[in-house]
Amino acid sequence: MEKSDQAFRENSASNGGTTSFGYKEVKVEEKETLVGEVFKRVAGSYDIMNDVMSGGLHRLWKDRLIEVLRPAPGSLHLDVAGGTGDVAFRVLESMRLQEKSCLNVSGKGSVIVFDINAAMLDEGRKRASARGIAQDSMQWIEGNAERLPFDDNSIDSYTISFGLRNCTHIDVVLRDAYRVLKPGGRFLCMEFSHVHDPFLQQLYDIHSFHIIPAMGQAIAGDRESYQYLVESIRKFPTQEKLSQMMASAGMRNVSYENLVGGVVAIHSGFKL
Amino acid sequence: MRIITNFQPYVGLAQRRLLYVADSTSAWRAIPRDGVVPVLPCARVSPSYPVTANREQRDLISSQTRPSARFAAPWPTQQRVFSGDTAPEAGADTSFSSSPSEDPPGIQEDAENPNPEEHRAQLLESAMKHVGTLGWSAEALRAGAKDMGMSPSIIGILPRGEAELVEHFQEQCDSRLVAELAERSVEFEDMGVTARIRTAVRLRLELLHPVISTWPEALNIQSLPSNAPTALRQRAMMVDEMWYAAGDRSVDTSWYTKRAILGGVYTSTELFMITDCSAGFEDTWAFLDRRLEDVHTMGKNVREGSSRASEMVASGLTALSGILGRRPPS
Repeated sequence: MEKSDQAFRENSASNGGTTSFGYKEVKVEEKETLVGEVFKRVAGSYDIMNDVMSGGLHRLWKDRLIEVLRPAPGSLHLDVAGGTGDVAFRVLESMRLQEKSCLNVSGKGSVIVFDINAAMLDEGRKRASARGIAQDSMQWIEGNAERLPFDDNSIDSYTISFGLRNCTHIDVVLRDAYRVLKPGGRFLCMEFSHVHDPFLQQLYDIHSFHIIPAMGQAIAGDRESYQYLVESIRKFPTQEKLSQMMASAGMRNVSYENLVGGVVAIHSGFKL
Repeated sequence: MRIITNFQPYVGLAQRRLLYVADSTSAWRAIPRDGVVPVLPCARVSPSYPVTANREQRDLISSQTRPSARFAAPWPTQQRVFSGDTAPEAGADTSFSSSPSEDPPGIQEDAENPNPEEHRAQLLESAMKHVGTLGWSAEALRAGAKDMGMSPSIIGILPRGEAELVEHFQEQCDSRLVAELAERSVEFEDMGVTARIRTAVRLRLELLHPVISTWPEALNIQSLPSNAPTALRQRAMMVDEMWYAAGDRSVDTSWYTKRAILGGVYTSTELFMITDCSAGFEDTWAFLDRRLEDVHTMGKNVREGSSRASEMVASGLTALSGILGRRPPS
């Protein structure tokens, strides 16, 4: 653990050097392209694979994220790395539901889906039109989470689910998230994290290293991409470490909640 | 009688525990959701005063955990504060008792960035102004956030949302009650115990006047399974304050029965009050008198019946020992 933290710290330095791409060490400038390729390959089968790999649990995790967030009616939400819109649709739905029941709502809220990968955004757009979602309530923007094209203090709430892991410089992403949030705004990150229970960990290891790559092969016909997925999870900072990074990015009231014993963690922080 | 005396140490132990619970409401309410703080407050802080300690000593010892002292000595309540190099496990244990100045580097508090706890207090205060129009709701909290010039998302710092707003109000009322009861200590000397209790209950219920139209909603929120534990602890503490002010210094089982009975009287009167339309809540105070009368009658019946009951218990035990083939306890 100590070693991976150390490796992580080195990697997150913004200047040159190498960074982790799964268990492989790659040049910092290469990671973005490599991750991009992975997601270009999996975009079509992304949602079905999520269901298969998590046994449908990812739906519950996302619902829990919305429960924690309680999107404010009339607010502006930014979902980073939200390609296929899974989280964004839920946020929008919850916002609309509250707007109906609230007395003094000024204007309708909207959601921005932000992703580095055009293929994923296309999937999302398709799903949005299939759901009959009004054009003005959602925006789809392509870009890098390290350099958000938004003004300072402009966003009410920010979520990044299962995306922070794939970013090259986590600390830069966190700082930029802090920058765009309004005072009082909330940052939520849902990410695969670290299991501490020894028994659960054994099961989880078997699932990650044997079952998931095999399923990737069988369903998506792509073993490497899913091998990368499980390896990148192991390289991701622990719950405590990420919480500390959020605190050093300036966030307050930093906390996290483990789901399924730490397979997934929801991290929360505020700009106060 | 002998049997009961033998149980005294255990009763004392349980009582001390309960006293601690009653006195540490604010620490208890801080238990966050799953897994964030793995240590129960009871295990973390041992009750540091003997059961026989008088209230002044208890106050001195537990002043940090009393609601009135809450905002004077803020500590991270719902969440652990992450920063610096504190080991996470150790942080979980100490974060409740440590003062903000002990926060490790990384979260440096400065004038522009007051402690999150202050934001919490500020948010609750400004939300209270909207309770009259918007009720005990997330909407009131969001309106409060707007008044502060903050994004409505800030209400997420209250994980249980509107329930924490109700609890905040209850805490304020409780501290006001304690202050008012303290003022009346001289007046109380000439009153009987029932009259003192009556005054205390009435004082506390009168504090609900400004919010009585929305109070059913608040009770509804407090009775939800996720909020009921805190609500019960707050009530236990409030009832304890009333009995203390009324001069109760019991250290036997009546400590429990007194508090349980008063809890029942208070709650039923409160429920009566929310549907009372009489001028000045006259009907409510009449209802309260009738309930206190009931308690009096019940107490008399219990006293009369108790000698008979203890005989019955003793003979029952003798019979039981006979069946088990042992000598009865002498």
